[in-house]
Amino acid sequence: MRESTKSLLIIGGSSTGKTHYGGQIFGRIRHGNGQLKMRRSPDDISLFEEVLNCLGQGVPAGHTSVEIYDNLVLPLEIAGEIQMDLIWPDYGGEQIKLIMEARQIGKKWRRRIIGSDGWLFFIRLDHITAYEDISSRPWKETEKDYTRKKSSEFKWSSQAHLIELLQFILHAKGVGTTNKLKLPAICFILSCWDEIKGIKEGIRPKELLQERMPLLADFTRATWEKDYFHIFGLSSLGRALDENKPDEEYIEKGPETQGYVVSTEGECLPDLTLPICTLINLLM
Amino acid sequence: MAGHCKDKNCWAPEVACNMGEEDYTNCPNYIGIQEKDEGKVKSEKGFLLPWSGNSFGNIDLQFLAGRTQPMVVGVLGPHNAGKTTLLTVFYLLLSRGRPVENRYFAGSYTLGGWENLAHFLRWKPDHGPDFPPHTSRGEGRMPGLLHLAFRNQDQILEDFLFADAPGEWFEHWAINKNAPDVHGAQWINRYADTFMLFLDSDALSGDKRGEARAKLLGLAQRLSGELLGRPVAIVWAKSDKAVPENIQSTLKESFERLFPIYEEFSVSVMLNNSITEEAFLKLLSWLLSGQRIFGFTMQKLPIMKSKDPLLSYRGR
Repeated sequence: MRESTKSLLIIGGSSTGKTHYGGQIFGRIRHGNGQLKMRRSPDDISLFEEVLNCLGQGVPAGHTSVEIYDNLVLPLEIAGEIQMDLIWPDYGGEQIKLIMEARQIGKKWRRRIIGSDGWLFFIRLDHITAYEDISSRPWKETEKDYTRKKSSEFKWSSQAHLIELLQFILHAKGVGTTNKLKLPAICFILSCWDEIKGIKEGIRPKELLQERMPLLADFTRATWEKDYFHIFGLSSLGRALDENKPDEEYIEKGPETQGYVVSTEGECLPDLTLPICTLINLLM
Repeated sequence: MAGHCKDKNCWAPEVACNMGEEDYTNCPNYIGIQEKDEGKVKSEKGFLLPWSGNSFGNIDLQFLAGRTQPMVVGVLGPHNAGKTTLLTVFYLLLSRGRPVENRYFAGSYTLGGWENLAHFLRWKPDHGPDFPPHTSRGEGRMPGLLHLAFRNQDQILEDFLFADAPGEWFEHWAINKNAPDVHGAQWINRYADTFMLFLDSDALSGDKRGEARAKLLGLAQRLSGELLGRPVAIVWAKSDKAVPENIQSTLKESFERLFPIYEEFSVSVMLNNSITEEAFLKLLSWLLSGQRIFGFTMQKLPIMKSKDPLLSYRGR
């Protein structure tokens, strides 16, 4: 009896690197690299084609009109047997904005979440909002003489924002958290790894998360069983591309030779499908 | 403008419908308001979340109580003693990954409440930290509750609620426990599993230290009378200010007499211009490890009126 198709969601706010990852994964699969294969033609590959087109010319993908793409699906299979759909349910990150501002989850998104088996959760560490406070930076007498200005615009720290988001989507999925979770299995993807400043050589992604967002790290440790939570680093492009200065290596060697994941052991590996395959293995 | 619900215990459409209707307008209790068609595109109604993220009130608690029986930490002390600041520092330290003994953070349904307070004690681009504003009395009959969940060393999930209330409530409660405006203090007394009693070292060393000492003793005595064996953390807040020896020793003697289970802690956010991090963490660890003394309930059992002699039997 054939197993039902597994459903993996790619979740992350806008500008967290989902576009380039999608394009590069599509490119890898089309090129025949790795274990993943397309099990049939996707309904709409225009976005991925466009991304690969740009990369093939050595420039980054432009900001496409994200409103068009609210539900991208890549129908894949592994080893000719295991079928899975890789889904970008909220391509533009608009749904996530709705969650945080209106505290609602759109019905279509919720249906996707309920039907999902695994999540790839994109986090961009070089874009996080983090603050110094009195526990990290002492206040001095002289500092207290500042002119009392109108209070700065209040914005949650990124840690709190991401924890709340995870709490929401777990609730939307209807999973209780009294016991640690196995499903949905989750991979954190620390994207745009090459752009994160101050990374120690060989650091493991888990250690980096603990260093930069310890409250979120604790939350994931408390919520998922150890084997059902993985963290990878990701640089889909390998380096920043400049739209005004096409990259020669991309042009001559092709985008399928560029980009890497950082494994759980801190090793840079060229197989961008590794997080996806890791998740699938957990779901078997 | 949205409608509202007939059920006084339901806060839809701000949070999810109590009856479980995914679309709250389908609920029989919902009272809608005719929306004028202004040609705007209506957004599809989504699945509402049952918590607001701000500090919990009485109604929101139902959501949490469905998961575990939360431990309530009552925070008592005169106004301006630093109660809210201390709670905020707990959150800041956890956000920084500072370890708590035998436990680690497992989530919070009042992140909005915590972030709101933390904002005051953070460095912003155009201005430095400042103390959180005075916790106002408002019209509330119960305190705002801030939630933290932890996993302990046995991987059991525990929910904690910190009841942060204005100091004025306790000043009145100390004098008259049944005064008309002390419901909030009574709520904390009724439901808390552990207490923090704040001593304002600044007030106890200042010009009005005699009055401060007397009021504190009054509060301690009231607490002692209502304690029923529950543990108390005595928190010497603003410990960068030195309290005179005499006052210290008389207070310590009283605590020994009044509280069967207690421990003293000294904390400051200004000692040598920095916070006493270890002391805060030690206090938090102590609070989280408090056991429930007994199944604390004040439930009144109804008297059953029945003609059946067996059911009516009440013993000798």
